[in-house]
Amino acid sequence: MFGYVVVNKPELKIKDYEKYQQYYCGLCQSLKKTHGKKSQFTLNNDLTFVGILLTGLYEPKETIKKIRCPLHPIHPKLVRSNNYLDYASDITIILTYYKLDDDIQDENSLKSKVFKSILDKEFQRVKNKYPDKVARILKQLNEITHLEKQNNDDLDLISGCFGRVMGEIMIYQDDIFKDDLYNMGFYLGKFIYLIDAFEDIEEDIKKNNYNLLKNKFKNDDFQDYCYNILEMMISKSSFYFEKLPIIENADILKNIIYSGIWTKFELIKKKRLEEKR
Amino acid sequence: MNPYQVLGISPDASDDEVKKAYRTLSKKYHPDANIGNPHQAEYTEKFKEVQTAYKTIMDERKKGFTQQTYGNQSAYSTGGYQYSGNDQEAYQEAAGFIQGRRFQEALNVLNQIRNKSSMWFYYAAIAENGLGNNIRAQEYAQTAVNMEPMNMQYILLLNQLQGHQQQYRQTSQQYGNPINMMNCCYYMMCMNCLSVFCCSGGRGYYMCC
Repeated sequence: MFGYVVVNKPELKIKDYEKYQQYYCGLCQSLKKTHGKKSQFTLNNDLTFVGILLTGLYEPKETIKKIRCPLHPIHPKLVRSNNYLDYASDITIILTYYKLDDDIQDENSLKSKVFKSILDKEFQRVKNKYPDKVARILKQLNEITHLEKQNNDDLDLISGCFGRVMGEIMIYQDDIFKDDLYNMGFYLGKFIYLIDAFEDIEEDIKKNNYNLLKNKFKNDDFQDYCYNILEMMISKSSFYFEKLPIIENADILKNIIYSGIWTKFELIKKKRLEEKR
Repeated sequence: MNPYQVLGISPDASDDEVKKAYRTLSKKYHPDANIGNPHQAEYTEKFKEVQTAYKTIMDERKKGFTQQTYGNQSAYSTGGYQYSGNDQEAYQEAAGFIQGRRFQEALNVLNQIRNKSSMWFYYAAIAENGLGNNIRAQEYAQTAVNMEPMNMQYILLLNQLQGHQQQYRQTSQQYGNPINMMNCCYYMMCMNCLSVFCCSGGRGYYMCC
């Protein structure tokens, strides 16, 4: 479910790439600060995107500082921090916790069980911090589990559940931007769910796991079909993004939405082509 | 008051100029920036005005297609409508619900119609789109066009539903989209039937095929 909302690095200006890194490291530091060192493994690009988006929309006061990080021991890193990144780190805990739970149900993986138990306490804390929001998110996530168990393959219905999860996540506060943020998140969420299924399809078939694209996979135009529905989703998401008054970080965000978001799709395509040969 | 006057810009300002004007003014009048300011109450009022003006302009410029608003997505109403066997009457009822953005209720009415005509797919496409089911919406709109290829209303709907993708492709060229136009042939298949009527529908995608 993670790692699709990324930048297209070669097309990004160096200063923008550095800024992106500062947000990425910023989210990591926020995870450490609010949820402890053990939670840093949950860091991902997708929630970094949410943090950058909300920062661009609300332009909060930010602090930038230099830190030394064990992963990059030689060069000190600049990191940004603000309350929107803190919010993104809270949400990261929720989504990762769910993902681990999902992995446990699918594969009964011991590794996932261990990681999940690490997050138990933090998950409860975030749940208590935003009870209504988390309840709405969990309702949709449980609905996905339920539909998957039924082997339902209605693309709009299931991806729509994850759409509502992302829509909910995008809304930080109740203001005039909430509808546009929600819709932007809704279609981004549908995109993420669908590309995740697109990536996992072969493995899911092999392992006899659920995948909503199974019936489409036999068709000759499978890849083009998937591309078309993915573009349908991200183009709607971008439409709502363009309605928001974002100037700050706009180049980074547009690089992600209009280009970086396809990086994974291209990789999967290439990999399939090579396997065929 | 005219929203453009509130933001101090001309109606021909670009989207970016509108956004910049909003940023400047919202910074100036933001409640947090004016704590202790004797004009604080007045500024807070002004801040709200600026926000409303911005929203009015953007909603007007980017109308999109009718979409449900946040918090209103799962309004499953049982509805009071009783299908009487008169399809025409049911379509009118559905159209009324669509007008009022009550898409789920529109679908509830449509689902009582047994004989699915092109009209059925047309209305169902709009209702599904409003509910965020955009894959199904395009399929239905396509079906309506296939059933009645000369119907201008259906063609326009399909075109509108595909409009975001065209816009997206244009913008993504500036950002070095790794996919480029490789998949346009697939897209062409959908657009082919439209090209006869609306040449603008294809907007230059023919070039690369």
